Amino acid sequence: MNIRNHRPTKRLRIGALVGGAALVASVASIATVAPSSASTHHAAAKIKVAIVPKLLGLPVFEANVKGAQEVASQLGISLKYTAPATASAEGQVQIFNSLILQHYNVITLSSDDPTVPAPVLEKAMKAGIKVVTFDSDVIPAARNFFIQDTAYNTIAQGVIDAAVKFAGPNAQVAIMSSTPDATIQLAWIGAMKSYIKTKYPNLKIVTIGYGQSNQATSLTQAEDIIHSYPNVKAILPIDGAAVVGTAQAVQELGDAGKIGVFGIGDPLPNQKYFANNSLQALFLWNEVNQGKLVMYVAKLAYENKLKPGGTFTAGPLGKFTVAAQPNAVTGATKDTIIFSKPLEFTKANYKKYDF
Amino acid sequence: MTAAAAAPGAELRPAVKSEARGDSRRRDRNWVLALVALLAAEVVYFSGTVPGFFGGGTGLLALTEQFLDVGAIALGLAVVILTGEIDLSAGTMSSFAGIVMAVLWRDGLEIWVAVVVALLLSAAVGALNGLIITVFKVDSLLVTLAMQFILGSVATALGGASPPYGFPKSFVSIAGTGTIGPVPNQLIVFAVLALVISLLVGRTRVGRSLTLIGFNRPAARYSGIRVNRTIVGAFVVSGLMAGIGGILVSGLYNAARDDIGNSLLLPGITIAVLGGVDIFGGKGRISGVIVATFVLGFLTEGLLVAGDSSLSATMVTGILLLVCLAFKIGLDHRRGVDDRALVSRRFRRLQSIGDPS
Repeated sequence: MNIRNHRPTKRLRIGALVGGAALVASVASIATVAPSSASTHHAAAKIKVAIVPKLLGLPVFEANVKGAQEVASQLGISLKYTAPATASAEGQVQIFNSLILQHYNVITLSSDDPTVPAPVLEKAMKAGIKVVTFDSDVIPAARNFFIQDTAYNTIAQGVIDAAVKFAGPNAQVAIMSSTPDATIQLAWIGAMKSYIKTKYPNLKIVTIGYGQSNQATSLTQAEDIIHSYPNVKAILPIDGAAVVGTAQAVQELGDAGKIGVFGIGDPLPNQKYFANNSLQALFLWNEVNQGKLVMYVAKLAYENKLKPGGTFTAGPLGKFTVAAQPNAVTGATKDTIIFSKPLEFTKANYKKYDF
Repeated sequence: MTAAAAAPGAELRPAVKSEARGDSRRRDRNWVLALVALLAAEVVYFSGTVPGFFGGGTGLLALTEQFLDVGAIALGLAVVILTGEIDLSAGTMSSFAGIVMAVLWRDGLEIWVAVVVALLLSAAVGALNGLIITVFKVDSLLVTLAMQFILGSVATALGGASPPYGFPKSFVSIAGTGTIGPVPNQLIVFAVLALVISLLVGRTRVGRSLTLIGFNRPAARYSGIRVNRTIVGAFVVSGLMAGIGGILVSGLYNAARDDIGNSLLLPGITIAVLGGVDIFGGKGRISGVIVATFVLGFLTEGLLVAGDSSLSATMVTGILLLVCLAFKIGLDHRRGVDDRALVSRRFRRLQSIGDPS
């Protein structure tokens, strides 16, 4: 080994220590320069609310946040938008933990996992923080209120009815979901199955593919389905990434218009598939208005004005009921607010929506 | 201030005594000292500027729960990396261990029995990793990459549509969120693990063999060290530690999940490298890894509590890693480490993978 023996001097060691300290100072100053939104507005007696979707940058959640920001100041809310960079339950837990230490009044979230954040959310509730879930719920013991996008069975019926209209009541169809344990997708699949059983007993779901909420994986999965089940007449993607992946698969394999695609998702990322006929219809709700409702509920929850079984008015959005709905995970019923009926997006109207 | 500062430093005593090795030992110690200074500066900075971070000391202690699971995994990874190998299956191993424990418990097994079974299985899979690597002479990168996918799929299959949650109180308290006074139980568990691994690597023959294997594999072989057996042992340790990490994270969240460990692997490797373990093996101290756990953990938590987004927290982590490594290489350089010697050592190491033993 060609290493020269060179005793470290005391000076060098001190140099290392000073260097380390300088390093932390520089890193910390970078951190403070990095955008931090909340702490700037400090008007008296504002309600501190955080909105934590599953991840940053997904158009549907950005639309929620846009709606929330539009009404926050008129409701006396100082709003912070934060989320993990990838859909990670552990990432959300770290964020909730930091929100508790920052003494937020209300935490609103769409959960990446029904159970993982439960302990930290219970800790938040113990600290007097109100917890409001929207879109994807946690176990009911870990939140105060849940805003459900739309009744599971209405949206499931919308998708199935549209698919039957295209492919007939005796067709073979496939479902493209996200992951096998995704709460809301499981609820939709359950609702679809029970609707098919009663209304279209000869409609057959041949398989369920899982795209892992990833477009590339969804594309491969959808292509596999088309290759392995040549008689499939319609594919029903029920996750944002699955919609894009499925429509792309249908287009690339030259099946546009032959295999119908009817899904649950937002129109904006799928405009070109509507245009080239590889996507027939999507169902969703108005995400911007849903974000507004989240803020109304946050304010009312903070003021303790929401009662189980009671009703409330959310400004121009109208009247809502706090009802007992079966929770998708535990089946328990507790304090759920259903947001709206689904909207249907087709080739005729997709250009009107920017989410 | 923290357990990191109090934890015993592991001293590497390489079997080959040379002046050069002595120099490298001092450098390693200086690196640990620099990390301690960094940690102190970080804690002082955040305590002074971020309300809610220090929390009268108890807040600071409570924050450790958020990252000790990664620390446990990093300890195991450090042992493998010291030998010049890598274990990419450590993340999904955590998911696997958590799911196995949870499913066995749901099926009626006593929770602590389920924990033991899950850990034994993790160690066994670690042994399998090591055996495939040494017997078939396949690079550990490939073997553990494959094992990563296998374990992830098995965990998903076992966990099913709704993986179990809501474990018994005694378990959640000890493995998860319980405290003794202000000290989180997880911190005590981590301190024990850190002590054991420190002693193993720093004070035993096996530990010295691990380092020598990473430093110069042919020399280790000629000096009579059972190289293959030691490497298998390192992978057993890594599997076991990843399993423990999985149990801790399941306890913290009071839920098992098939993808819970995916996000733990890269931070684990980051901690090991930041702690001064040479990614090519042969150099490093467990005490550095222990301190690095807290350096990285408090940095992330401090930024989050300050209200920064998790994006800027991960960005700062990346910057910290790069700056630290550049700093460390600069330090090595000033000490006159011959780059050509390093390169040729690494090349010999790569060649020796193909050597018959």
